[in-house]
Amino acid sequence: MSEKPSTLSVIRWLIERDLRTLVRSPFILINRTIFFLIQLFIFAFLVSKLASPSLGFNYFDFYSVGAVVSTITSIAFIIGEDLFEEEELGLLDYLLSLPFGHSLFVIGRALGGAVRGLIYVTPMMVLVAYVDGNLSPAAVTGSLVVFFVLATGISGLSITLAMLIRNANRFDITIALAELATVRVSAAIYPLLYMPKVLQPVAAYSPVTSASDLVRAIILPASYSSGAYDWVILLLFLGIFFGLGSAFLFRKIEGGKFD
Amino acid sequence: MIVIMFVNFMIDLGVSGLSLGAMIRNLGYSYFLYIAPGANLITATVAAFQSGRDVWRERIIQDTQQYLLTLPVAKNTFAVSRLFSGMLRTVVTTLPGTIVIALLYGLSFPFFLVGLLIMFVYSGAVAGLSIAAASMANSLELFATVRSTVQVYLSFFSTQFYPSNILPPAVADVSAFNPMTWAVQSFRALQAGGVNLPLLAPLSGLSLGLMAVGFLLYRRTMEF
Repeated sequence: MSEKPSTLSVIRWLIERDLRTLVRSPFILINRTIFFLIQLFIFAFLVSKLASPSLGFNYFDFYSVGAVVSTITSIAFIIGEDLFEEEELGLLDYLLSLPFGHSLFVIGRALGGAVRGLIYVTPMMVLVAYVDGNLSPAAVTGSLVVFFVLATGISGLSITLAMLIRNANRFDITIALAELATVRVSAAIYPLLYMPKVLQPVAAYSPVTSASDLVRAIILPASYSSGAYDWVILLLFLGIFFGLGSAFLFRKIEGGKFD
Repeated sequence: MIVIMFVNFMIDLGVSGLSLGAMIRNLGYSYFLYIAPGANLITATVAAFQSGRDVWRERIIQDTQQYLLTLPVAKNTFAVSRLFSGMLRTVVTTLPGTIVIALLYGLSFPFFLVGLLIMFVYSGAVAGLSIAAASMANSLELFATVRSTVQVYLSFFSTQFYPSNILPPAVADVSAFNPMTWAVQSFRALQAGGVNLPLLAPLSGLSLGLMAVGFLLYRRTMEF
């Protein structure tokens, strides 16, 4: 009789599997990279030309960090699309029948989504740190730690949506909408001060705002982050969607109550 | 679908549009109103791409294309109908957004109808592109990649966000072959109080061309 695999082995297998999916998906990698470069060197450059005179600060620098945060958010959402496709193809039932717990499955997939997100954005972050004049190992590493926590939480949210929605068209649109709302209702691409007043309190509690503020404080010396508060928001978000993703997967497997 | 698309539009317009509008105040005109039609056209892009997604699912996931081709409809008629149904669906899906833009621009009813026509013609370009992509892609990954590449091209290589006079020459050249450029400028012309045929003509030409590409590639999938 074969032994039950250890927790760490299971997590490592799941992460490896998601990384292999990444390697087998060169189109997505190329596409997101091109999208990022266009966002930065065309959109940000041109909008900065229009905005910077009335803002009194360099919008390009502000936006450059937000572009990396938006990119990792958008990449972390892909894990839910993978799960949905696996479910459509009947592969998810097989994966869930493997000898490890559903919580471990969620943890492994969310970490897999986060790790591949980091692999995507590391070159982008290096480029942004260089363009913004703060290319140092400490600054890049600090930023990647923030991205890792954000991406793990977003992966959990994406897994939760994949487990909740059954219709493919509805899932496609909902995931696009969730991605749009998560990025736009935040201080990733514009300062909170300029957002509609009614949305400012919502955006202030967004994990994407917290991640953007933390990374800006690392990369752009003149930026402000409330440090501990931003970390609390990020970790709360992570905890909530880890729990929800796990609960909905459990419901799918057992057809019963959450554990 | 209509509700979700309208929420999508409202996020684009009510969050990004207002925020960017508040940030950019030195142009001599409202930047919010300048980019407003673009938000609806981006929603139309997402909606029109669903036509391609349907075709792709029928071919690859559901394997129902062969069954659909046994129905008593000529293949050419079937292919053209898919394109037109995608266009009509997009116009209906974006109708609430078009109404919002018409109200923001203070358009008269005849100009509102011209606005619907612009949405219809623009949808043809995107439906053509999406069905072309669906006819060629054998994996969801490739289809999704083409979809987002097209969205990037339509949004950032056009005059949706910035006036043509600040575009670098290479981007300006590319934007001339972008249906978004002509659609968004046609809408802005309505606000200025006229129907600008020199703007509508290139939009129609590009749409017809892209619909033809979509039609031909879709027809090809029916022969093998």
